[in-house]
Amino acid sequence: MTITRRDFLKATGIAGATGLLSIPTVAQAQEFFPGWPDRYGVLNDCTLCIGCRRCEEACNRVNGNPPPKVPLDDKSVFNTVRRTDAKNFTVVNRFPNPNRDKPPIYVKRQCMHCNEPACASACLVAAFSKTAAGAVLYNSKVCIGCRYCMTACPFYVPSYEYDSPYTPRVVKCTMCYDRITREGKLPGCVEACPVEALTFGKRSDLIRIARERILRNPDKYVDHIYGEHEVGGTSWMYLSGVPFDKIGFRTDLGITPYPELTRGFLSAVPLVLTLWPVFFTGVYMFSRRREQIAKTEDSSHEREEGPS
Amino acid sequence: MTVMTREQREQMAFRTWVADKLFLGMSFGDYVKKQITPFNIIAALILAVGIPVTFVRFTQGLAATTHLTDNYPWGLWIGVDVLCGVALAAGGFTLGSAVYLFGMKEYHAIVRPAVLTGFLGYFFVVVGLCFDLGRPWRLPYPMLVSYGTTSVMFLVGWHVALYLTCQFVEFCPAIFEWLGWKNFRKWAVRLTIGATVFGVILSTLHQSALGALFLLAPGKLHPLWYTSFIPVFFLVSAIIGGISMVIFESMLSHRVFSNQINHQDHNHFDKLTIGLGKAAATILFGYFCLKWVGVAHGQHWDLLNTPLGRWFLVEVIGFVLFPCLLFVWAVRRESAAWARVAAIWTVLGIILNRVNVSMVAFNWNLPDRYFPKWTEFVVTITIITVFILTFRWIVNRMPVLWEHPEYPPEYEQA
Amino acid sequence: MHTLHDFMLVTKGQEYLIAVTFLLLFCIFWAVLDKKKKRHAD
Repeated sequence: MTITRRDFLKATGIAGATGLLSIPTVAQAQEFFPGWPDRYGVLNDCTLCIGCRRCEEACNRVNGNPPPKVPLDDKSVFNTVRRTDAKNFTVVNRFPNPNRDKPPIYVKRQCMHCNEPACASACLVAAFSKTAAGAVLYNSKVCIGCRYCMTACPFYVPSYEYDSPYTPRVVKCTMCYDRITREGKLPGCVEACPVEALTFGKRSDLIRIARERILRNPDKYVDHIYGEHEVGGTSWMYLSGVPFDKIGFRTDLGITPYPELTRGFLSAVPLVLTLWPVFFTGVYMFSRRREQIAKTEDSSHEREEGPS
Repeated sequence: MTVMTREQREQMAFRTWVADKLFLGMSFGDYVKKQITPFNIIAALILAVGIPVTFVRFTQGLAATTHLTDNYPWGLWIGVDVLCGVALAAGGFTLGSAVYLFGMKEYHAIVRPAVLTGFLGYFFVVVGLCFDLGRPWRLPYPMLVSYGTTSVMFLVGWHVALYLTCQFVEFCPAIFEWLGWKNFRKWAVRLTIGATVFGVILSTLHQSALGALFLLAPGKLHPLWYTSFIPVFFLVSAIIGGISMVIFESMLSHRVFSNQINHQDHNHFDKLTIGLGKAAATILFGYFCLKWVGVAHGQHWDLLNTPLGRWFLVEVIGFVLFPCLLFVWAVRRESAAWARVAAIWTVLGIILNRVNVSMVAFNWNLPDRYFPKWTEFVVTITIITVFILTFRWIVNRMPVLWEHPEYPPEYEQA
Repeated sequence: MHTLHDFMLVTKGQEYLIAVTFLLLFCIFWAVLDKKKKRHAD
């Protein structure tokens, strides 16, 4: 949902009217935002992924990107840990298993579709929005290309079309928004996965499914759903058989949603806008008064001494 | 006796006006001959490289002219052109408020060059920003099209735009004195106090906002630089940078434009330099303490013994504490020369801090590092050169370093 | 409002509008408060 001018005025009007008419509303003792109730998500079970990269192939096809540069049967692609880029909205990386004699672990990375996206918070033209369906979408029609979203994203997800001189865009996974909302389909990657490592559904259901898997197989899984609470929670979540920091996930991101990080500063802005004119006008009056006193002292001094 | 038609008289008056206002009273030929100086030749060479690079930037895009990547979306043009440019242009609001709001009339002689530095500084920051933006023609969008009110960058955009207008209004009296438009000048002077107050508000907000941008990067900016106090750090260091730049710029101006300044002004000027040095020393000392509050706030003492930790110490001790003490020493000895050295050292320290925050300590835990492409350096140097040329053009024509005999100083009319 | 982001989009917008309106009103306020007495011709 993007806030249009009409929505903003409507919200402001309702707030004002409610206040004036004293319509009883439920006030929270502390703000709590549970998010869009029926939003979708994807659960990625890293214990099932075999690294076939058919999800990469499907994603590129669905989004009109060229097929993955390194062919799917060429395993040398896993020699480096890749990130998403302007032509690849998802990548699968391989990590050695810390438990010796166990097979390596493959991890698919893409936009996490955060509950409170840092990119949306950062964008000065509100080009990003968290939709009711759960996908975080980008509006290229208003983007000015400042790339602050890329600076802000803790997962290093957004990519930029640096080689486009006139129409560069920020690009990333869209959770196949049109497919899931209008065509009743699964996201391309979920559909393509041959081992059902990816499960698409309501985020609340996915959390239940994940908890159940952990409960049923406590030896198979680390007791943590990555993305359940990280940076305020994400729509794309992960299960793993090894600690998450061993498979390329940052575990030091905390649970504070990113908009909270700048909220304090932004709240100080109206205070400065209001109090600074008061303060500095006072300073000006004070210094002007001191000048006047100095002037009158000078002239009275002259009068006493007489013209020199 | 030649009788001129009215048309001929107007033409001649226009030519005289052009010669007087634009060509320093010389004929076009003489004026061009006078432009052949060593500095101008160097500037021309810089522009000879800079203009083609600009052409490539806007026809082939950022990939052709920068080393920016998806992991490093911000590079030299943001780190230096924008962040350093804004911090060092802060002299405009600092001196403006000192003279017009706090009533420190003794600094009146340097308020106009400070405001000019501020105005041109911000203007060329916007120019630099237009090189960096993916779609610079959409620069007005956050003001006219779509409002990202959750964004600190939204504030930066608005405030820089408004502040540019403010600095322009504050500089208008000089422009109108140059043009001889007395009524416009009167109107502009009346707006000075309001523009100054507004300018202080805007400066406070956008200087700190530039620091607040990095609040969204806790995982990327090294803990010794990432602190919730970073907006305050940027604001305080901008004030320091502004004062130091005024000392530096006035030192250069008094040498380069010495023909505009009389002997008495030179002596008085040294006293002003020391006064500014006193202010810089005091604020630097406060800033030094603040930096340590920041370290304590995050409890990152153990990080001081790492390579980046040592670099932090270089910045804080070598480029904050050291210039502070140098200023103190200069003030106590009443040495304007040493105050100028301290000012240059401080300016370097501000640049170092902004470079550290945006490029060195940023993405500190990524294996790949960013280093600007040569074209990025060319653009930055070209913009600085054009800034200097513009500054010189204005100072050679408008009453910036000298008082126009027909007009009393602004403060007497406020 | 479902997300903090939407909440902040609206509230910050309102806060800025109120503050800017105040700034404009302050100019009028100050002009009224600080009206200088008309100087009589000597």
